[in-house]
Amino acid sequence: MKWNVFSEQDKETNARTGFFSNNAADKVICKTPHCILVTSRGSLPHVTNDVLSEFPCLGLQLETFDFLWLNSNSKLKGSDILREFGAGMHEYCQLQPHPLYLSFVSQQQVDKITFSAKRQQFHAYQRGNTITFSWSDYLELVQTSYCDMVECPSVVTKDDSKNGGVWDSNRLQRDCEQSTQLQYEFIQQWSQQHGPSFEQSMCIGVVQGGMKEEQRRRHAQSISQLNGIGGFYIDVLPAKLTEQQKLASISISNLPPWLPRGMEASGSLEQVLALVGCGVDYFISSYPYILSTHGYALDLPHKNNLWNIQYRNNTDPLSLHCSCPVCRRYTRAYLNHLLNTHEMLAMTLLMIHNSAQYIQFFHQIQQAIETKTFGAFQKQFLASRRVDDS
Amino acid sequence: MPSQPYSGGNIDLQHHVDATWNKARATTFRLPHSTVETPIFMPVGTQASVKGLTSEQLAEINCSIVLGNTFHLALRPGEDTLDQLGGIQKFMSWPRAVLTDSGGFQMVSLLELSKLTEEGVWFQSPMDGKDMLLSPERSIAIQNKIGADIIMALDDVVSSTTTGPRVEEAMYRTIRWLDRCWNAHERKHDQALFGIVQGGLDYKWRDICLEELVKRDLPGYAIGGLAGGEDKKLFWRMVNRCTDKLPMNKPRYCMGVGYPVDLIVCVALGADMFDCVYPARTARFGTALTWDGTLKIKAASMIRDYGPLDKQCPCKVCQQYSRSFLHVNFGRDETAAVHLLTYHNIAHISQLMKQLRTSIIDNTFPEVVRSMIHRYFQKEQVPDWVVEALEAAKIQL
Repeated sequence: MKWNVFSEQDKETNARTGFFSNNAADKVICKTPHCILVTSRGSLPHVTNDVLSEFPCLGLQLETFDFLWLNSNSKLKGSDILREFGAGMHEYCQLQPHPLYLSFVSQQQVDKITFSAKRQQFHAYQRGNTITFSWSDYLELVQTSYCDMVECPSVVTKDDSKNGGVWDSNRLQRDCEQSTQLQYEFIQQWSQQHGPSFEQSMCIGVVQGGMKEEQRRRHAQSISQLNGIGGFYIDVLPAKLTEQQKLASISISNLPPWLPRGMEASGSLEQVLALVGCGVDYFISSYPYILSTHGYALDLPHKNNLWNIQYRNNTDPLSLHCSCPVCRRYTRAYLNHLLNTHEMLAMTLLMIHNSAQYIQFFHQIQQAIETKTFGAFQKQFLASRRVDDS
Repeated sequence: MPSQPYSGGNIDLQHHVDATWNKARATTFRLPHSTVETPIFMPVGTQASVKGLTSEQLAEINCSIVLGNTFHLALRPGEDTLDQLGGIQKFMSWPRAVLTDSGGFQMVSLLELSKLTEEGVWFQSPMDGKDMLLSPERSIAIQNKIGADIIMALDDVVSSTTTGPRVEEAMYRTIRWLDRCWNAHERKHDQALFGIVQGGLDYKWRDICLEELVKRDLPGYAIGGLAGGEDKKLFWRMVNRCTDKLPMNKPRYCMGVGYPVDLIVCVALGADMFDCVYPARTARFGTALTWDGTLKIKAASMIRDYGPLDKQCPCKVCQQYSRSFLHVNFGRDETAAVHLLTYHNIAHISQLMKQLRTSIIDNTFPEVVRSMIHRYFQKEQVPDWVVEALEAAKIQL
């Protein structure tokens, strides 16, 4: 997996397009900016792979904790199962056409992760539980899963509320330094052992630095200097959009422009647009899932809540401008009924449709950047959104 | 009570018996939205959706008719909505046939909330708490609006374990209600009304009901009031009695049957159509149906089993997924594995019916039944009732 810049940078913003391609065949896998959707134990929630066949370029994120151990007593490692199975995650989860992204540990899942250098062990603190795993547990999963993109391990500390929400600078600096060291060692060990090469699996450096500008700058610079890194994940804790933009911009301005950078963005379409404008190329997101659980169907640029009684007799497709398998067959009235009767099919159909619309949104962004109209697109998009859309 | 055949503008199902082996039949009939080849299993889509499956997926697994429920559909989205939107097939984007159950079964399942009178059944609406009457006329009016290909007469259903005078009363009421249903039916030309044979577990009442129903020359018949926890030895005898007396030239629908072994027995006894929530419901609990019996996907042994759910199954799930992945993916409500197991289970039952049909046509029915039964019961003895029922169908295990 590699990434190339495609268009020159937008004049007003830092938006740009690029493409992920297969190293061996030089086949374009997907253009950027694009999304990578969050999965649950190897499948999109409620979605079987057959209905995803129309979206081969859709990237999917796999969660390390879902596969580190496959039974509750932590004896059976996912890497052992994959080894026995004899193929990587694409085959195991039957997600062959999709680019797969292995997250180390997402911040949604844990409160903090620490690393004990003495024992060579990670401790992840999750709602009162502590999960301990060794350095090699993760490396083995990476080496057997053959995912297209793999995050380097890092330590994470959330804003300590006991401290009155103020970041402890010393601690932050220590964490960042430890993360850098961990990523350096991870790359070293990966390159010395069997398994996918950096050409097969893109090694994603994790750029941190909390809310401190200086720390962000320094960490971005030190991660950039690691050899073997093929892309970056900019770790920004949930914050106000303007704050996120600022932090993303600081990190990005200190990263090499020829490599892709990603961020988590499950919040809104506005968030995606703002971060594309900062120069983010890929987005780890569960936005279609969040919308679907609340009964929303995207109808770009809007979203409609199909629980609403006004859709009871509405025979229009979910969106008049969508050609997804759901819009080709089903009506808003049917979805309104499925939601009202709590039928499982509601989630399946909404997930397919919202994923399709979300992909479509990224296509619109790509096109706008390539035709050098991103600024206008962004303005028009924001102007056309209703109050309840964001 | 009239004893003449119902007449006037009936739908012609062009029913054809393609082949028989003793009492088992392979038949074909035409409905407005699809041609049905029997024996056939109809997946249950109570509220216009078969648990988590898209209509494309149902079509892929050779499903030609699904079942909806009048009681539930009348509550939500309401028959007027369905009528306005062009009928249930259009509403659920299902181009093939639909059968709607009359709502009679809800008398058993929601008995405590309902009151039975000769006029009909009074329910307290679960939506707004208002009293609503489900009478034969109302049930048919709703079903006329829902627009299914096959509609069911409202019957007075008693639990199959009930005995005594209530069974007799329910049987006679079912016949009286059938006549009221027929008179109320406004779409005789394009909706086939099936009558339901009641009479509990008593030959006497079954015989009277059968005689009365057959006289009326309905488009099709259903065997009701069974598969509700009664002794299996009585169950198969009742099915056998009904199929003995039902006309050869009409479809016979055995209601609520869906366990693979029950299906095989009932096909051998001459029933054509079946419905049951079992394949989909058991999937949600993590059970896969295979030719070698059931498989618990949550069992710890599955995690290192890289084979398909069923080696012989041509369904998409078995062609792609390992038991290991399904085990790992199963367990949270939100994953795809529940959908994959539902898909496989319905595909399995569909293949079972197809194989039975083919074997009747190829004259290899007893061999196929024997081999299926022996595979299902590899680890245990074949229950007596299965042996007896198949003997009655002239198949020696």
